[in-house]
Amino acid sequence: MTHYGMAIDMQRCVGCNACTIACKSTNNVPEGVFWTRVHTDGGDVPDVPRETAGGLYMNYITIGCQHCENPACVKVCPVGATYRDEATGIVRQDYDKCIGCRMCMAACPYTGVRSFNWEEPKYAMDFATGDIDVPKHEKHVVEKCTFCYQRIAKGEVPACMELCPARARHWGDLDDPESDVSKALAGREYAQLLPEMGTKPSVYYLV
Amino acid sequence: MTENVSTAGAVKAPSAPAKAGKGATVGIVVSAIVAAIGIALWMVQLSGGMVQTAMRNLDSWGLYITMFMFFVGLSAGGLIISSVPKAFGIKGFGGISKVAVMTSIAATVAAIGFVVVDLGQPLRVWELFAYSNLGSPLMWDIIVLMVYLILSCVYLWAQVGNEKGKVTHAALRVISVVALVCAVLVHSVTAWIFGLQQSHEMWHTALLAPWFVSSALVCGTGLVMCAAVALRAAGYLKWDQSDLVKLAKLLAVFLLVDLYFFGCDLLTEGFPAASGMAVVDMLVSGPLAPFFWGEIILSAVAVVLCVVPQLRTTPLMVVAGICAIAAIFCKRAQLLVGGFQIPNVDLPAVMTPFTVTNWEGNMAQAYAGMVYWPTPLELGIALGVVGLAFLVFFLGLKLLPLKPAEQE
Amino acid sequence: MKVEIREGKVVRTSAAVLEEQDNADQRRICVKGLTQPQRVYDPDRIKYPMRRVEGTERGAGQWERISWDDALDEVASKMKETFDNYGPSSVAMWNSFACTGLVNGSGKGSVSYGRFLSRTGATILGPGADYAQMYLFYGALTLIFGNAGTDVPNANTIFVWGASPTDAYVQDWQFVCRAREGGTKLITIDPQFTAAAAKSDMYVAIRPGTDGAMMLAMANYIIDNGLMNETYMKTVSISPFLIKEDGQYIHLSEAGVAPVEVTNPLTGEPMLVDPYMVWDNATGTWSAPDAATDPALDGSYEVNGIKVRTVFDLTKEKIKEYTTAKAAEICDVPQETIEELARIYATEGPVYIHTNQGLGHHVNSHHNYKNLVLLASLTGNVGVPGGSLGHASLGFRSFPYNPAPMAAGDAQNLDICGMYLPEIMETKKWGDQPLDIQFLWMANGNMLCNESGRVELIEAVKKVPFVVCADCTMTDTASYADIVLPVPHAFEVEDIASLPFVPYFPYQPRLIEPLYECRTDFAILNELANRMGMTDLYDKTEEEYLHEMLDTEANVANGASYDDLKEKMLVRLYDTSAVPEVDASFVIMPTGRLTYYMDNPFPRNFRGQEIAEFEHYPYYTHANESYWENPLREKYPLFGLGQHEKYHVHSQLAMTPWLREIEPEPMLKINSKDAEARGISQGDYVRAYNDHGSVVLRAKVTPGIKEGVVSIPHGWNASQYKEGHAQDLTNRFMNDFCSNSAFYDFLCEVEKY
Repeated sequence: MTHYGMAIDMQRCVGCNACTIACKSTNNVPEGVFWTRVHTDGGDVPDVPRETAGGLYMNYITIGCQHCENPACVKVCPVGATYRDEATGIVRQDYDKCIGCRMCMAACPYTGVRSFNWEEPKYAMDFATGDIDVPKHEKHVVEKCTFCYQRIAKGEVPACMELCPARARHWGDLDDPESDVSKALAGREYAQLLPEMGTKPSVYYLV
Repeated sequence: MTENVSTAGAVKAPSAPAKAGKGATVGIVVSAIVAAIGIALWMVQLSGGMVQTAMRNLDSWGLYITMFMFFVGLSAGGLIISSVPKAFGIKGFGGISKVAVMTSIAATVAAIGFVVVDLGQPLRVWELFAYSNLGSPLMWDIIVLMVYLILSCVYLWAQVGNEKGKVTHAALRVISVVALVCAVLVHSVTAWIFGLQQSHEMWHTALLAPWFVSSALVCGTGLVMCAAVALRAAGYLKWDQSDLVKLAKLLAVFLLVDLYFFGCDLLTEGFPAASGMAVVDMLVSGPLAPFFWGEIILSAVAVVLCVVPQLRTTPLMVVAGICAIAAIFCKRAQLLVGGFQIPNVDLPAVMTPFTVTNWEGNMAQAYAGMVYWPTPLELGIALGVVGLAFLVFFLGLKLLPLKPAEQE
Repeated sequence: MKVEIREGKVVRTSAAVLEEQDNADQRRICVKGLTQPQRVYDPDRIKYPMRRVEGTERGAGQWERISWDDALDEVASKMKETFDNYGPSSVAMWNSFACTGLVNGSGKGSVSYGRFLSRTGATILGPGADYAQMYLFYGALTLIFGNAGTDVPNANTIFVWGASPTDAYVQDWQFVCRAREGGTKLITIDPQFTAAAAKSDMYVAIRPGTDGAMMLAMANYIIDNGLMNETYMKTVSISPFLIKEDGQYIHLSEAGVAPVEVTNPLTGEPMLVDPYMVWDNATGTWSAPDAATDPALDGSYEVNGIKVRTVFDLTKEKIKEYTTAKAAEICDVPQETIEELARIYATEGPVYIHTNQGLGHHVNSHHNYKNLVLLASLTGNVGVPGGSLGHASLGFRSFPYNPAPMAAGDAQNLDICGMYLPEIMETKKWGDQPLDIQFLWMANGNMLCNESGRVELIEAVKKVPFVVCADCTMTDTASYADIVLPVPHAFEVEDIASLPFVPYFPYQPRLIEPLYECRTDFAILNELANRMGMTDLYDKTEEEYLHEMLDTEANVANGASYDDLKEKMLVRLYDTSAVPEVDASFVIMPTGRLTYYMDNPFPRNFRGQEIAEFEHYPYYTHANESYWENPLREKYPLFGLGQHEKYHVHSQLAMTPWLREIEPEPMLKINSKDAEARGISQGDYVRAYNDHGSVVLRAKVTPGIKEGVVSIPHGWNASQYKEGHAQDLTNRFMNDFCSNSAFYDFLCEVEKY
């Protein structure tokens, strides 16, 4: 029984979007859809700071599905298309089952991590990029970060984790103290997004 | 036996036919056409994609679910009005019970219709019964709505049967009680779709279920009042003015209860002057203000019209009914759009055409006005579903013996 | 890079897993590398040879498809005709930095162009971009690359000054992170609040183009407050060396000491050594630098009747006027801040100054690089662990190869910065020799998008009778050609880059067949040569040349022959001592010292111009257009800037869809107060303009840029701006010494569109 999780080092992340693009490329994510995004904690548009008493402030935070231990989305899906895989702790989405009711999107507190394919998925190229075993994207269903479960199953690394230029991303089995993510968490202060929601996310942010 | 208190000077009208005549036929034809157009537009939505609606990732529900809530309220209210007297064995409202149940059935059909047109994959509806996740409030609602629809039909059949002597009073009473409970449940469960989600502060309140029930009573009563007056004016049935007045007074009470719940919620959100203030500000002076003040003003007007005896004329009571219905619609819009109007994570990130309805600017600009406003396509489809509801109602009028028993 | 191919299509790129010892430090990839699958199939790729439709304007975008034979026939005949009628220099080949392949690269450093140039004697037009830093740091002044990334954590303080390790070369950022985690202080000096600034302990918003003044003021502060590292000054830097009144170093021979014959350790040949001279305080007389026990840093002396003084003595005099007070005014930085920076630099070392070409984009900004070396000399911050100028990624490695195939003749080529084209076309001269360019070949760069003075450059190109462009996408430059020839993407060509940035041979296998009708530069030039009668010019195939270049004795012995590379693809450099962790390359210079002084400053492009005296020593002068007192500021008050964008490689990837989803269009950065004063709100379209030209694009209103400064991003093609082009606001005026493209050297005004 593993519990996969992520740790993102906010001291290191500079919003270069390598993770965003690695995910996009590996999972052949359609145009207009992003499974993980770089958010700027600063001004009103990406990459600008805001003025504070202590000077200009800008930080970056990457947010995708938090793969919660107590997921709000799983509770409400009427057909069980979204479910938590007990063996890995990953919250998965079955495109073929999804009826497109978008209840999960209303239930998830993490604004924007779930994406609905409002039209037939479009791609810039006429062939699929990335891994061949990525489930095909479907119109009118919900999708989100899959924690690259199909790569993990083969013993490979999730796309966004392969190489963060800043080495700010860590992942692994949260229950294994020797895993990269556990080691990253040890001895560092960390925070989580919206902990008061009680969803127990598996993503940690090292502050 | 009920008294027949007609307005002074009226001559007893000749016996009206048992079922509705030409008016209903016209109604059937028109609503069928509207419904057909709606279905055609729905096909357009499915083939070209729901991108043709104004819903997007950050505001993923819109007009359809708003109307769903609204019509569940209408239907629950209608049924409660009809079943309470029978359940408690007290005097009703002049025998309009069957008409009320018919409005309720029609409204339920509309509610289910709105869920269906909102689905991305409507052909997979069967999965709801094959893979049901019984822990999901949405699933509960589907189940309860189904039961409720069937039960409404049974109730109607029981009433007709009772009048013909085939169904006993006791049995009818039992069915009324079950119907009553189901009606209350149906709207509570609908409330729980929103009220149990911690993701949106505006939704996550225990008050939501009772409040939905009170709102249902408001609009349901309003609907029954308008429907009965209309049918009386069309000559389909006779109805005592005093029954109308009774309903009006009841409407006023329901409105006051609803406003009371409204006030409680606002106070609870606003008092700590903490995170809930965002909700209060959004309602009172923010993008949802028109709907907020709309509800308050419409409710107040309706109360006044129903409470002041001199104002309780038929036309004004119809106005009161319409105001009540409109007020509750405003409430639904506030809840649905308001839930999405305040994002939990609003840090700027890449915006695509799928992110939010007004995606071309930045996040602040997207939320500057109402985050969502329906497209003409959505309005067209919505109209089609409403047309379907009217079609069901008119068919009922045409084909079923819905008149008050003593007028048959 | 690991490239995954499925059914003949590139489907994914990712960072290759290296040998175990390298993965932590050397594995690298960024959004540019990750989007290569789309880059290969970019919508603006040129698919077949095209000719400008007869009667249409160059740049109008009217093309007709032609066959390769037609294209090559026409190009070859025109080229031959030009050579025959106007001589070798009348054909000019203009390139920038796009490709560094040994076979298909550019200029004399490639087989394809090198052989052609060395046989025909055609004129080379080189880039203007980056030459302020490159010219001074790669030879004219000194050799400085920067300590390796793994050394960065050894720094006690890091200055990010004229560089962007978060946007422009994010592969270095992890080393800065490591340093910060170890307690290193990070200071960013930049008119823009970059991501590095956001992570810095101290941020200094300096006025663009004035950094040189601050450097000299810091130097003065260090000198005046006794913070100099005298030992380093005396033993490592050029400071004690004696120079004559004419600026030349004096040698021992001028004091009567005969040069000594020694054996050159590199060549084994005999050579004469005539040492430089210093004044030894211990003995009270002159001596060779290594023989002095206490070389004087200051003072004027007489040697054999010749008046001499130390380099440092001269320098101090020349930089004196730049007090911290004066610099505060010039740079718009508080005096205390400048003094604090000086104090930190001198006392909180070792200091690694991350700098690159950011300090070299104004006319006259090449002086900055001398000034930086002066600062490093005063404090001992180069060539020591944690002490460096430059940035880690530039730790050029090298690998042994035989360059012989790159030349096929001994014709002489004029090598001129391409930005002189307008004056060449105007005067038909270069200096006092005639130069009549009748044929222009543009390749390996997007000069008409990225060089400054675009408007003038385009006019000049239009004057050339025949213009050919070989490129893989329809760039701004290609748009102005008469004939456009499609070349393939790197994945479609086997080659080897000349510069490895990680300790592996930068071998580039052919991964997929060339798309469309693309042909390599090598193939094209081969065909042209054949048609022009030079059938023997490319006497071998690309593979044979690669063999010839790569199969040196050392490579073969160490399992890095061409065949080895082809088979194993990822082969580690066997001699990584070529790039030590601590960069002390400056010792290779003739003086053997870290020098901020040039005894014989020689311009990059000499055409008889006078060489100013101040080219010798650290110096500051204001930019050409972008300076505070310029009367032009009445009309155009805002200082211009550009930046190296994180989602582009200059103009490459301008059209790549994934990147355009994140960043759909160029945005001009303007300070919130400046925007408010002009009625500009977030996301409004604005026009930036001056007397040279204008551009219309969206505004990004931010407090993260210094008031009075705007940044207009480069690397976007003309079609991507609503109107105009960023480079239309710049002008072609170049510094006479290093001939650098001064992208930031412009003033402008911005108004709501």
